[in-house]
Amino acid sequence: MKNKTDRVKSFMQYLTLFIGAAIMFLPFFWMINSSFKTEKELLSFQSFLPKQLLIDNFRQAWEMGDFPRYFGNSVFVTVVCVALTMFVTILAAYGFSKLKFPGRDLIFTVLVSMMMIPYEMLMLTNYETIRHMHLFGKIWSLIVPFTSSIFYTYILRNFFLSVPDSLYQSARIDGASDWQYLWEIMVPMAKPSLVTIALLDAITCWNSFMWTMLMSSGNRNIRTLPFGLTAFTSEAGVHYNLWMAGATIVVIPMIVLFLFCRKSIITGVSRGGLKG
Amino acid sequence: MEVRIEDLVKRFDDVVAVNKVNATFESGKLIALLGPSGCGKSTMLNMLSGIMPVTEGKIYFDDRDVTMLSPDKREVGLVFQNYALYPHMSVLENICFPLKIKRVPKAERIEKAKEYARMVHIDDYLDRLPKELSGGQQQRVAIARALVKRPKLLLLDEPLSNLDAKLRVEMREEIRRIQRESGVTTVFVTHDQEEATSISDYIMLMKLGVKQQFAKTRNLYNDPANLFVADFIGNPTINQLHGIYEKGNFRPDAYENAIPIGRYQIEDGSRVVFASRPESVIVEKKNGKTVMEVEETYVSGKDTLCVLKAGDGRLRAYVDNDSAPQEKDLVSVSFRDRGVFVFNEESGERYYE
Amino acid sequence: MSKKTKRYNGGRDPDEKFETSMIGKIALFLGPFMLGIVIFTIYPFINAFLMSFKENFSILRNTFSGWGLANYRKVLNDPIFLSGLKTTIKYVVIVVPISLIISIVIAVLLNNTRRFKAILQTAYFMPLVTSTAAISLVFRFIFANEGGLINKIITTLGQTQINFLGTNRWSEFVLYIFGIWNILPFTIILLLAGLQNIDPQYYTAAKVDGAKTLDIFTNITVPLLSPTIALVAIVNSISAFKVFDYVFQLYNKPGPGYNLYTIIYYIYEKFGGTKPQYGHAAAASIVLFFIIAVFTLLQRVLQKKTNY
Repeated sequence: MKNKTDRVKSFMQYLTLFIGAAIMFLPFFWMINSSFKTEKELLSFQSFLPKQLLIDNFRQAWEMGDFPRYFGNSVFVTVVCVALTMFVTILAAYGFSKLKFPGRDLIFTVLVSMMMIPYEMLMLTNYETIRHMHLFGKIWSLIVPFTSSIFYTYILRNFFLSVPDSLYQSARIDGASDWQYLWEIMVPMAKPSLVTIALLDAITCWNSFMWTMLMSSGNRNIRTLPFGLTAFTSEAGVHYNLWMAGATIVVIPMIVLFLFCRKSIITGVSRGGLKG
Repeated sequence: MEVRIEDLVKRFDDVVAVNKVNATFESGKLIALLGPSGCGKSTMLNMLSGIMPVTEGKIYFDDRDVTMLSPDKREVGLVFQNYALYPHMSVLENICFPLKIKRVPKAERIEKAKEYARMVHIDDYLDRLPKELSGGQQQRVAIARALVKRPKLLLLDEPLSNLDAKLRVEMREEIRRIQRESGVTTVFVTHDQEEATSISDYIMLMKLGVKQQFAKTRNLYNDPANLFVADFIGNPTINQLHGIYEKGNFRPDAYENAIPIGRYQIEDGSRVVFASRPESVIVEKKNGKTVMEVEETYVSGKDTLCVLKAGDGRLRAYVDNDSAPQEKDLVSVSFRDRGVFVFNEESGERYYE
Repeated sequence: MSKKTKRYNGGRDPDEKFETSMIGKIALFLGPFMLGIVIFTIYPFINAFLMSFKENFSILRNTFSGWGLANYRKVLNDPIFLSGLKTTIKYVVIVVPISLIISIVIAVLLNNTRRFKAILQTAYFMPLVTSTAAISLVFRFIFANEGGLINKIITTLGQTQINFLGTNRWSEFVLYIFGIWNILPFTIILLLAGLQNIDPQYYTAAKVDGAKTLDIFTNITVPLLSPTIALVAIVNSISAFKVFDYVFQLYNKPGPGYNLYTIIYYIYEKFGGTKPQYGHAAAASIVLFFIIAVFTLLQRVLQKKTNY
């Protein structure tokens, strides 16, 4: 029963949205589009789309920029950091939701209020701490400071709190210890929350920039992709075709992740995390 | 297994939830913990299961003191009011879980779980998740899960209160059957006297943390220890007339005529409550004895319940349908010897002949 | 018979050794987490305060001349810090409101769509997961003088080419565009969540009353969404106050003419630069902390009020 004005309105709505979407998407499109062009093609604007899908840029960037190493480092740091963070977070969320000890909630409130501390304020001391731990210039320096996350613990604790205590008592009577109860009952139940946390953490780890830059100033072999790319651009000089190929290499894994887990990521972000 | 509790006390800060309760639960019987909310019955259950620590007193399973034992070492099965099924596990996995914790080999635990699933008639739903089951089916799973590890004591916390009326009747018979079949000593908590009397062997009636009476189910009705018990058990509730005891007679406040009730060890002139079960009230054609007017009648099955105007008060009486009076009829009322009790008005204590 | 009175422990474990077993459990479950928090959050947090009061602090020799406010005096009178503060505030004041206005429009439109949801969400929210270090290169390329898409369009339209990345005025502009582009997805998602909390009855009622689309937007949607808008504004302000990566990644320095020097840039240079002055860096970071703390408190108050 749509009349004409409604249809016009609806059309305008989609038109606006698609124009906005095109603008938002332009950098990605231009990046990938340009990564297949030769440098000459790029600068001359002879054609909008690449004449042929050249993988030359990728090959060249991959070889020139030490990208295999950066890529390996990124995968290692992301996988290990997410695994450790999940483990520590699961234990902590359980402790702060199901163990009953005096002062528990007060301690947690104080921890939550510490989420507002800007990392830059902690960076100075953490830099020194890493040096004292003899981790400076080692790849573990990119992991160790980030395994305890108050924010993720907060999300998971909220879920754990919603699980009725009778489940715990039931499992206790069945002979399960706290440890078994956590891993056999709570963790499988918390799967959606855990997936969300793992995704947010993977994205954060993969894209981590400033700390990696600081830590790798002593050893270029521990660079991960984002800072590796920045370093590559200053080392290789201005060759936009190579830049775009390098940027694509850095971004593609996360885009794939996004395409597969869009809903979980959006849910996680709407709870207040990431880039905020 | 026999369960014995001695001077059991539970205090929460200043509140005494259970006060010096003693009892022995005979092996293989079905025992109901009955009472209004806040009477301490659930607290009792939680102390038996070990979920809640005991403040004072002892709990023995047979001759073993289990007072300080943690729940997993007590060999009890517990069914929660909300069933506490693990939502991410199928029916079979739920039933298997206690055996899995005990590291029973997989094939064996599946076989055992299926055996108990058959026993509670849930074996057609083994692959379902709890949320795909009805309330009654969830209850069956919870019972199977509690029984599968062959507990020596089965505890049920308000097992029927989350079910609708028809299912409730069905499930209480099922609980009875399952208990008989497994032969496990079973304690269940309920606030519903009908539920308790319909299936249990013994009832412990509690009020404000104090045991009122612990007896065979039938005896609780026929031989109440005090006015609270007499009042709590039985539907419709027992008739109560307040008045004075005098030389083998009871003089009600509500109307003139004295009722001969026989010799009691009561001082003449004491205030008492005269209580009578509705089926112990004899209603006859008007014949000169105590005369009352029939106010209302309700047919229920083969009997008719008559509400009689007893002065300011009311008496309920069961009369055979064939001889039932009409509303507004005047009838004569007397009492049988059985189902008639006299209590101290102030303390509620029962007087015996 | 022993009549041992036990403290009520929450109805959990009647184990005799409650105290010790509980301590063991706390250590097991909270130990790893607290270890990380104490070493990498609590200790550095306290240490930042201490350092900011240590005068003439040298980290290499771990010596300082005494306690005092010299660092704060120095920082707050440092024209470089003050201009950094100014630049940062300007960034916040421009990027936060503009991104909010765009986001409100997009969120409201997205909220009404049934079709193309997956495509639209993908386009709008992809920046959430992509490395800003990588995308900053794309921006540098798009705004470049030679081979840059924007300048190609400008010259095609017959205008003179603009030196986006090399002039103070335009480099600022590119930074704002980059900042807005990055913060839009997060803002839109939070606003969408807020919109979904509005009871559709209000819209129906307004339509029955004969309200036009624009009337509904200004009279129903925006007022009912205002708690969320305020919340997002604060959260975005906090993150905008910490702007540094974008500048660094776009220009590898504080802008072409040192014109985009932000607070964090100041902290970073005082601490990582050629002449490190940890005391000054600490004092500046504590100034930043208090700015953020004020915004966070505002956020808490709002959250309580709106039950969001």
